[in-house]
Amino acid sequence: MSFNIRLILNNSADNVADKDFTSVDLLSGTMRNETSITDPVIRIEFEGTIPKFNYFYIPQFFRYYFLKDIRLLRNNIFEMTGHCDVLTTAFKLDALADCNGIVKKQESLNNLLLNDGTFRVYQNPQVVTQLFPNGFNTFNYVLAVAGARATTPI
Amino acid sequence: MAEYSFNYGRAENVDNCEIDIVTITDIENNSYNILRLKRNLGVSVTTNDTVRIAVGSLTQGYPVQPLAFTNGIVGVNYYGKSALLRKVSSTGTCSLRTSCTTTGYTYFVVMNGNSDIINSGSYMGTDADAIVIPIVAYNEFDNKYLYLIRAILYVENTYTSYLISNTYTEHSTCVTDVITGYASGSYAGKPSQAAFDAINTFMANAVPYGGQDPYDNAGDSDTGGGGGSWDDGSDPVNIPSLPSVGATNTGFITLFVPTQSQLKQVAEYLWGGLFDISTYLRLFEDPMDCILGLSVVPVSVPTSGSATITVGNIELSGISLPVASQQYIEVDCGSLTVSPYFGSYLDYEPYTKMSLFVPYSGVHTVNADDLMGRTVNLVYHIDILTGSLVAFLKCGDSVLYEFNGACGSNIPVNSMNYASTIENAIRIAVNIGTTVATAGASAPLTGADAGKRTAYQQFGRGVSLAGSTADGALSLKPNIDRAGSLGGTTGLLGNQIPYFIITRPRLCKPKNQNKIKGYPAFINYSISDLVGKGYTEFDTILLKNLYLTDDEKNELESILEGGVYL
Repeated sequence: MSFNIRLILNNSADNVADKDFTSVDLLSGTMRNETSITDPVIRIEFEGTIPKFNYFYIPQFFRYYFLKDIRLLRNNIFEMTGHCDVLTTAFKLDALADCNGIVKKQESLNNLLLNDGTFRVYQNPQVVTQLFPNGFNTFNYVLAVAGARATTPI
Repeated sequence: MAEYSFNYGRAENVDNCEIDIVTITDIENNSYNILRLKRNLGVSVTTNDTVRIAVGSLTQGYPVQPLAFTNGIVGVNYYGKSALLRKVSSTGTCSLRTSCTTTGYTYFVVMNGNSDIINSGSYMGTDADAIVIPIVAYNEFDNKYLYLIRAILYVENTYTSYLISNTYTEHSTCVTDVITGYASGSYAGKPSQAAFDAINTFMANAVPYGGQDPYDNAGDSDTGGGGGSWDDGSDPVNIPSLPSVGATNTGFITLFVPTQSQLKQVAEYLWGGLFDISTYLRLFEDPMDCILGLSVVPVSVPTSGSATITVGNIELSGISLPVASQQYIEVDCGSLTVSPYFGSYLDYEPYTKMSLFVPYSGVHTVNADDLMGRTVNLVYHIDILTGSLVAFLKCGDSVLYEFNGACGSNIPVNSMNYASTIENAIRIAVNIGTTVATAGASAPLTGADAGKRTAYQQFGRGVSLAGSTADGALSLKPNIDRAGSLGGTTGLLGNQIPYFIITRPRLCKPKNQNKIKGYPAFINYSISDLVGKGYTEFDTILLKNLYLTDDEKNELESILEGGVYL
């Protein structure tokens, strides 16, 4: 089985779906031993200095892989162990975009009126005052006298 | 020996029967209940009835065979001389097997659920003095049946219940084996202890029924809810209009609004030689009896002309005073908008707390939830005769708060007035002192005197609790009364403009928190909607149409719920 492995330098965090890749090499060969597709263990012969990579892609498996381990077995023979990056694989090669769900937290599409304990507050609160526009500024005497008012208003 | 209970849930469907429960003590001294029905009450079952009664069989005198039926009842008389047997077949017919002619009781056990009772096809023994009653109870929790195969040994008018088998299983095996075994003669006649033991061994794997559910009477849970109107409409509650009737309308009282110089004129007239005291004393003891009150009110009192003041029908000639045109006056303090500060839940209770200082009433705690984002309007209604007032706080379209108070500062015009004024002043001072003491107790005290230590100890625990939980700190903080009742003269000495006191939290937000951890959403989105929107954390995700393996899907689900950048 003709087989290609693209060695990649992943510059993104593991939980980034659309990862920033730098392709460093493309290996071609034949699979001689059985291996898992989700956690492949692959021996490669590589002459010279092995490139800096932490990620690889096997198009025949339709999967991207994190490089979990790489061991030198003997001269120029390396054994690399991968684990499928399901997030990027699903994002780049599959129908992840059609999936939906209830989003618990989001960077920009959120509702700050929900109280889920996301925010912390300091112990010393801020105390402010806000005045009404008007108050009492006129004073009058009021004299209450028994009986009706005098008969002759002036 | 585990204790078993029956489920009596369907007993009410047995029409025209008196049912009681007898407790029978078996040889292990465990108590068991059996339903007892008065046998001569004409038990009937309608074709559509859902009554399910288990079977009893008789081994004395007139043998009775267990019956096969789907829904029905079977009763036996323990004397064995006759039996009432009714059955309802699976087709719904009801037939009387024999009549009841003797006294005594018929034992029934209620069974819930559609269960066949096996027809053994054989008669019981003819001379035994025991009744064997397969008892069937249905456990609604797991759809299994409990069978207690009992023998009621009747000797000289007393009976003893023997548990000869029990199991808790699907019904068919138990009933078939036991009843068939009985009918075949294995247990015919008076059951021996050995027979009981044999069946007990047979039922060695019996699982005990957990006992009657004490909440049976509560009824079974059901679907519900919904159907709400979702009508967000709210009827506005407006500030009322001023009262149209008052003391001045009666003609018994006149309210003057004198200037300071006019008041001096009145005083000089009353206490000088101009006042005809002899004429006055024919009617009153003291000229001041006719002066009902003199006060200072913090409002501009509208007047309608002037009039010569008359005290006890004696006109104070030459002294004309402005006459108040109305007893009730409205004072509008204007409106303001309480704007959210954070634009988040932190603007609301219990994080943001609000108080309102209402001149001549004091400081009142108000609910920030009522006010936030709304235009609020404070309007006073003042009675200038008594000095009483009501302050209306209108939030949006409705008045949500009404505060009372007093704004008239009485000026003593005789000794009785003076004493009353002093008494009121002392009472108000005590109220304020108490409030100030309460508020001050929340601050750490440095004094060494015993009184201060006591106050510190009393409130220190509250302060400690408040500091123990960061998130709940604000909600645990004590509410402090900032002012007591500020009415009358004390109100006159206080602030004359209302204001809110807003205590809001100070947000502790790490830089780029939204980019690293996101902000709360709880919104249904398609992943395509979120591409390029940064950090996303799912509460629940529905993965479909993916070629990933099951383990990979589970891992992807876990990753999406843990937070990703799409």
